[in-house]
Amino acid sequence: MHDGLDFERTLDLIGEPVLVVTASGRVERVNRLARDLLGLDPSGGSLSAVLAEEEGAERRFLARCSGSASPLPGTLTVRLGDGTVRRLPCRGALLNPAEEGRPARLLLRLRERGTDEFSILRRTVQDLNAEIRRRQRTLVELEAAVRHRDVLLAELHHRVRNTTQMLLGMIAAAEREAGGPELAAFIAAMRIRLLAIGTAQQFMYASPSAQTVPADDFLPALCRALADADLPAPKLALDAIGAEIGNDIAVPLALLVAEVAGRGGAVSLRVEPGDQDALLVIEGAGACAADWSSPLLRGLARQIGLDLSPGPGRAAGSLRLPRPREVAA
Amino acid sequence: VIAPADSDLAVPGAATTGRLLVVEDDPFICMEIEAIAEDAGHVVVGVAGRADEAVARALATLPDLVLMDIRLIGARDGIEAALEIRARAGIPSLFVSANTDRATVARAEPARPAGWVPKPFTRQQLLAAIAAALAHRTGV
Repeated sequence: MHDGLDFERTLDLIGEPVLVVTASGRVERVNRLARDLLGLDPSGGSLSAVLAEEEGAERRFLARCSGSASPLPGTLTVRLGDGTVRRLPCRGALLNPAEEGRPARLLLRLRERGTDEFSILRRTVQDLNAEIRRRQRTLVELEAAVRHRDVLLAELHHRVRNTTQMLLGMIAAAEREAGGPELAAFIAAMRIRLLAIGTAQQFMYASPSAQTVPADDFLPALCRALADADLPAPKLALDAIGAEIGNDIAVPLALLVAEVAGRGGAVSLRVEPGDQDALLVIEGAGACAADWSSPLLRGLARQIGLDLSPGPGRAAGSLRLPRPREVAA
Repeated sequence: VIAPADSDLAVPGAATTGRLLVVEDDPFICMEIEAIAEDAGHVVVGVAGRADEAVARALATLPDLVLMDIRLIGARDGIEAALEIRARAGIPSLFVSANTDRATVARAEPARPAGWVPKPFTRQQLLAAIAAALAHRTGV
């Protein structure tokens, strides 16, 4: 049956080039795809006529295959019909063992590179490598963008701090040259307001949060800055830790405290614990208490949501501050 | 205000007012530093707005301390000037700057700064830093 027409049709049904060769390398049959690939029908001739292998290479491969009924992988360098030479993957197996008067026959299946699963795998690996390189490039670009943003942010912060210092210098120079005590006091009030803004700005930049500044650090720094500016130092009591002051109220709060302190009298700040938050209580007694109804202080209090409760000889306001849950607990 | 770094310049028995060189390119800030320092009894022996000018004035006047800004007019900055002044005359610099990020502080470390005063500063902050730097230098 193998030598008959059915065997030839069977070979033609295989979807890859197939050669039936003897163990000694004589080609007995080929299928249609092999004829198309080779550009000729090598049946009856030597396999080496269509190969461009080094001496003995195909014999070693045939010898290996003649001992195995399972397909063994290998490669054959084949002269193709278009005149080119290509190294093609090949699987070879024993088809018929040798019999009396007839040599062993082998079946060789050539695989064109494009359909080889190894080629598909290799292409997949290449695609993955390309994707990795693309992502690495994107990562490098993102890191560069983040560095650039940090540089811009640092530069912006530097400019703000330097400009604040320059304005403080300008105001201090004007204060020194002021013609009378009233003008000097007015300019000093401007200087203190700017100092309060500068203190809040520094904390907003340095804070790890983009939305808040830590009250535990900000309020002591503000009190120190006001004391450094020759104002009566506000009395500060931090009875609750971990409270946060929103960036939107940090500047007006600093201005309000500076304004109250600048009007004389005793000022105290107290952070008290609440259930889920903290309460900032600002109290003024003496000279500053009478000024709580001034338009500026009322405006600043309104801006930060300070609940004012004026009384005789003293004035107080309170403001709720959020606390992170783990600190509050 | 950051405390001065370890220094090998201790001279026991000296006073805490001193002769200062102010290196600052902004005229308003420069005037403010001069006024604060002189009001407190220090002597400002010169001012400079560029690194080369700062080095030349430091070598000419030999101040006790240089109050050094970092961003200056010109190609060289205050850290380079402080390094050269420290190397050639042994005079320490107290950095008065808005550039107090970690990278800048690390870059200035070889100049063995006498301290850092971040801008914006108050009169007390500046005077405290000057006093600490001079005391450290003189061992008071």
